[in-house]
Amino acid sequence: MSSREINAKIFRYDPEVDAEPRFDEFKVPLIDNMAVLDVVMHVQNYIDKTLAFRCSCRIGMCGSCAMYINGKPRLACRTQVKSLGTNNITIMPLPNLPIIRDLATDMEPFFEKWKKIKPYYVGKSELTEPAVIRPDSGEREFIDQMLDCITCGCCYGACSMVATNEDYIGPAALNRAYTLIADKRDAIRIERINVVGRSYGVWRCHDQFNCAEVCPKKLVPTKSIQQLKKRCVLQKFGIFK
Amino acid sequence: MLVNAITWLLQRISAALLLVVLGLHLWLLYVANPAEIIQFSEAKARLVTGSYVTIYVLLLLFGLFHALNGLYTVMVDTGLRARLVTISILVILGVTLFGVGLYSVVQFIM
Amino acid sequence: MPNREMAASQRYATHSQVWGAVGMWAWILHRITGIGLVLYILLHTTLMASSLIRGSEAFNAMLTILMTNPVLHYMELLLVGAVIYHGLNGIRLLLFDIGIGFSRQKEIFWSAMAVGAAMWIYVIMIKLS
Repeated sequence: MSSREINAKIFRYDPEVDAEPRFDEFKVPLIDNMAVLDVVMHVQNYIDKTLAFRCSCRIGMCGSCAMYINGKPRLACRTQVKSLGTNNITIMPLPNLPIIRDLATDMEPFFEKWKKIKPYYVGKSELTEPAVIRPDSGEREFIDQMLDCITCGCCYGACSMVATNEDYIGPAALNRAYTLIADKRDAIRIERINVVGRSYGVWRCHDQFNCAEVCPKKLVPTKSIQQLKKRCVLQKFGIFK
Repeated sequence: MLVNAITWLLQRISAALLLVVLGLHLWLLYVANPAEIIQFSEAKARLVTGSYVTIYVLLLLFGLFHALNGLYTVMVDTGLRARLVTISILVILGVTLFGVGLYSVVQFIM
Repeated sequence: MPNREMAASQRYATHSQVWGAVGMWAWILHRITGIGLVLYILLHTTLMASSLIRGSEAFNAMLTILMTNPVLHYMELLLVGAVIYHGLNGIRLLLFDIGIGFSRQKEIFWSAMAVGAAMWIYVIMIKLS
């Protein structure tokens, strides 16, 4: 095998035609600075036009191209082939989600759970003036960092707790819930706490860190979930209102 | 619903206390007690002081709670549906074993 | 709905989990040792009481059988290992619960394992000497 060539082993499955999924192997010429997304695009453009996958921005902003690449979920556009340390690349669809075709997964369960925590800001109606948050208070520091989530679903696909319990809300939605609950202008934090505090919420997290391991934005949802657990307990004792 | 928060907290508290009492239990058996085979008379001699009895009762209480609540968590993680039935069985099992364990401890003090 | 079934089967059939991460293995081992210890505590409490109910002689006889059996002797080392692992990884989890160590979780794990290995070797030396 030439070192200028990639062996791409790609998961293929069309629920309307195939009874079982299979793997197809493709030889793709290696180009400098090639990302895994370029590999699947090459396959689709020049070898097999029927290969299905999802992508949009190609610069790690839209969160469309999450796939299970060589052992973990990654963003195909932000994964350099060179960084994998091998020319043998195995690409599968994002785990824990229904498959539409080949590498394209149905993100609906992910966004159904995202909706559950009401992922938008609801301001307190009695506030007439903007809330005063001192720059040196550090209050926004952790929240701002955690707001970088692009909802690619890598964490959702990596989480073993989602794999074994399909009701679990998952790291991304819980992280989002934390950024809203921790915002002191939030008017419906108790409502949100009541959603994340149910048994399919934060209590299913067992500090596995798979989400943090795979997050292309280097977020640590485990930490947000821990903050939520703390608030659930405090709320139970009437300390967090 | 939010009982989850309480059992979660109790699981942490029992864990922290188990580190102490289970640590003492193992220390007594492996380091402080060089005898090959534990004899009833030795165990009885150890258990005469009130503090040892307290340690063992606490060990039973925290150990059983931590074990059975942990087991329940594992079952819920894998999608358990029959929650009430399971909880009832685990509570009965826990209370029974606590009684059985207390009986054992009492045998050493009498 | 074939899609949904596929999602369910794929979760297990392709084994596409994050097998390369330390946290994953820490969790799996915590589960395995945890379930093992649950079974042990059930056995331990019933065995103690069932021998004590027949008096101190029966208790001594039972412990002689249990503590001289060579197979059980080695199983006991496994048991102690499980307690040490579950306890030390438990300390790591308690640290997270009070908000410490999220950026150093792997280092904390390996430090705990180093301490655990030392403790386990110490117990093995006591038991086998």
